[in-house]
Amino acid sequence: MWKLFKKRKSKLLNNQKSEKVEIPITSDVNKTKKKIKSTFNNCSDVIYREISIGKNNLPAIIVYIDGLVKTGEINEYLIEPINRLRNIDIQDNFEETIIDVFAIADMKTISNMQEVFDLILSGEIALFIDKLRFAYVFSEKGWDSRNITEPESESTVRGPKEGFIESIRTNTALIRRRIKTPQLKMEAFKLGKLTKTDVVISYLDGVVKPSLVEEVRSRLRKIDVDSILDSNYIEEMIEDGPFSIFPTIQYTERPDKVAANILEGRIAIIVDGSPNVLLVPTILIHFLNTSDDYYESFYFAFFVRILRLFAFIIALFLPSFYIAITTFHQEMIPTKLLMSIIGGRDPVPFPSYIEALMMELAFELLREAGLRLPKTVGSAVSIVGALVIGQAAVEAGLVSPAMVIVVSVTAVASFSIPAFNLAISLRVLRFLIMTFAAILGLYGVLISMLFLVIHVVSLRSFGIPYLTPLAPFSLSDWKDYLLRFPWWQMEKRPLATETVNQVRQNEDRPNPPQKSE
Amino acid sequence: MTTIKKLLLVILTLTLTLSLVGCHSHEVNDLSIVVGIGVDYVEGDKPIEVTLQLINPDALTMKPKGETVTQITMRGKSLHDTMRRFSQRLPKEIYLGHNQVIIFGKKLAERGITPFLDYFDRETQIRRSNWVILSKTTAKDVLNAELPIEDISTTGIDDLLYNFQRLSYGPIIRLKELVIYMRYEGRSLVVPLFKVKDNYISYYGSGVFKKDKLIGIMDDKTSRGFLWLLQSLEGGNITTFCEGSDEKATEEESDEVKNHTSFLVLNTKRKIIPKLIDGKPKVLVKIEAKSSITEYNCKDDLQDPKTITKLEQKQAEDIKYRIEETIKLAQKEFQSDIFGFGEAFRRKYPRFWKKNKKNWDDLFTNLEVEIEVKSLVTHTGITSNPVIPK
Repeated sequence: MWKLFKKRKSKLLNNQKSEKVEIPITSDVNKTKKKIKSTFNNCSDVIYREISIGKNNLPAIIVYIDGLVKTGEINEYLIEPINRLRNIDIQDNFEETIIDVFAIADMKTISNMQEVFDLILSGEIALFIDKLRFAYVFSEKGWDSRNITEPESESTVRGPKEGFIESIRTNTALIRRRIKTPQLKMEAFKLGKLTKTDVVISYLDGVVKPSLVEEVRSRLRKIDVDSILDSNYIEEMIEDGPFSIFPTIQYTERPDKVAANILEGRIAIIVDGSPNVLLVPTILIHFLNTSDDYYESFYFAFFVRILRLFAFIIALFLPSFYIAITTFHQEMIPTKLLMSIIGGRDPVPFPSYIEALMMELAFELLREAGLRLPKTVGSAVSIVGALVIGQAAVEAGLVSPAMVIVVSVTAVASFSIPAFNLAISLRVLRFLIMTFAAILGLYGVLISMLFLVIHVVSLRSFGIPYLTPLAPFSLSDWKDYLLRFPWWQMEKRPLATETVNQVRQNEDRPNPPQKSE
Repeated sequence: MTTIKKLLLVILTLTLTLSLVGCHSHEVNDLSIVVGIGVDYVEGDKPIEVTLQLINPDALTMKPKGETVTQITMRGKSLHDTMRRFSQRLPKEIYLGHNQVIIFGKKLAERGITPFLDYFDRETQIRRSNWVILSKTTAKDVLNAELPIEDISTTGIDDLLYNFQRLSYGPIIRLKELVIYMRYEGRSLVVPLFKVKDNYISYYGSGVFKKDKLIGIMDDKTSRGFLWLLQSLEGGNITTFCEGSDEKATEEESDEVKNHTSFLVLNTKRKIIPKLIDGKPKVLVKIEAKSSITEYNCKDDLQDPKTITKLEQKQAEDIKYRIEETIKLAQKEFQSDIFGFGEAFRRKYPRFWKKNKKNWDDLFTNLEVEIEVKSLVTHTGITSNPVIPK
């Protein structure tokens, strides 16, 4: 079955594969015009502007897509200079004269029609002139895009408030502005046969492990899909362990975070049309760190990181632990606590597991509803949630107050995990572990923990073990990953990324001059 | 090994371990949580009467109904038989994991507690940290009575006995200690004893055992004297009277407040040294007590070191007097070696012990005990001399 499926799949792929075709540009501008018009048949957003150059009215045509170029600048820097040539006699060898008049910096000459089409589609302006077997292509891209705003999913108290937007040029500029060295490379790819999405991999040459860059390149080149609309398309294609519930690629909307990670020897994958930049390789701890950790006092960051580790464990295990000890191991509960649990549970007609499942599902539903609704309506959902789940359910005796506390603590813990994609996987796993706990008690919790650890330890992201500072134990990486040492103590880049140049700073903290004697 | 084989092996191992799990699931509200067990002896063909104190879940909800605890009594032929009989009256399964106290009635204790101890020792749900206490009347009485402030009398007793342990109010014993001491040679058991007065439970003293039978009762004063010999104390009170006041009429008789001095015992060191002098056993008890003054109503100047020395002497006398009284009681009235002197001889002179094991009770009754008390007053609280009205 599987084989058959695979065969069919590969056939389909072969049919779709399109060869790059070489279509030469004819010297007759009218023919060219026809060719373009037939290609862009029924494309109302393509603009053709016919124009004549010089005294002898050399016919020419300007082609571009409306909305992708700055129209005002075409008039000013392209059409007006051509009009100024009206009184000049155009000779046979007129290229030099003509090049001089264009006031646009980014100009290329291209003789392949197909290539010109691609450029027009990505927002460049093509100028075809009669008698020339090539086209001038100007880049004067300009379309409406979102402003650079603070990323909503990763806001910080202190630190930069800039976030990536959907335009790749702006995004690369945001990174370049932070790392001003020619070592910062921005390799461009075009992925997606129809969408022709720009993808840029950005890394710090001389720091990053070269084989890692080669690996990323080769994985990207292997992508053969017709559309890339968001960075997640790429993430799922190149991820190690595609069936794993744990994310092995990190994404972020913060340019400062990307810059910091590039400086640590990681590689950023920037995708046009997506404000989420991918970072590889990724280990589990990366999801528990935020950029705020580096902008606040290291004592606080230290504390918060430990807190987040606890949140991770609580979000994963608390409901299952509660189910296990209240249904299997009542002797583990202190007598007086047991009294209050009994008091709450007495009117509840369901087993703890069903109770927990109901509450967790209700909570997930509320969260999902609040997420999809417009923000103004979203608050209504939370009011309903608080009233229905929190109060009415307890008063009606459907749910015990202890369970409400457990579920809400779990919810708060899972919200305090900074990475949304990790929090999602924890949510799914929680239900699984709860089932184990309901069948086998703490033994079940342990079994599921065992499976989880086996799985997580086997994961890798671009050659780096997923549990890095813990599982291949590396104490020096705890400085930056698990804990947060003061900046002047982090002399080296993390060992995990196997950087070529590990030194970040000299060993001395900037000190006032020491008194001699 | 292929992956499938490995996977099968893992699944097999896990399924096999399932059969090892000894617990099964039951919701907390499907259980009758027992917090106190009382065992009594009654005449008849069902001689064992067990009283259970159970939590009433209705009283713990947000709209409480009824008393927090309920007592149920059943009779049976054996302890386990009686425990099983409870299911005739209780709709929920009995759960002993949260039992706090095991109470033996006086009648039963006089007949011997070993046959009942075994059940508690063997039962998987019972914790070894359960307190064991005696009732001056029946265990049922104690369980039916109340403790002030506390909703659940048995958890109250648990707290109370925990304070006994912490502040050395009196001797206490847990189930595991009871089982262990029972096996010791040359040591008799002392178990705290409670009485019921006006439907309130209160501490009375201790029951003294010989083998597994209750043979006598000490009041709380002699119990504390016993405590001096049993362990190192922390906390505890000594009250002496100023010079000139009637020494012999100590705490109990007079109702008029006398000029007294109280000490808080900070810590003590205790040493029991068994000696054989010409084949005759003799015990030397060395006690070193450090204390702080908590009340001082005498005239002497406390800032004078001589006063302190005097107080120390008085304290030593008081301690010595208490211990002597207790020893006398144990030797003459109970004829039971509650202090573990026999054990001390067994350790130091095993050959002597082997020979005299059988008639140790006689030897104990006539045993010469020398007491050496060293007392120190190290603190005077946060002031020195008391307030003198002018």
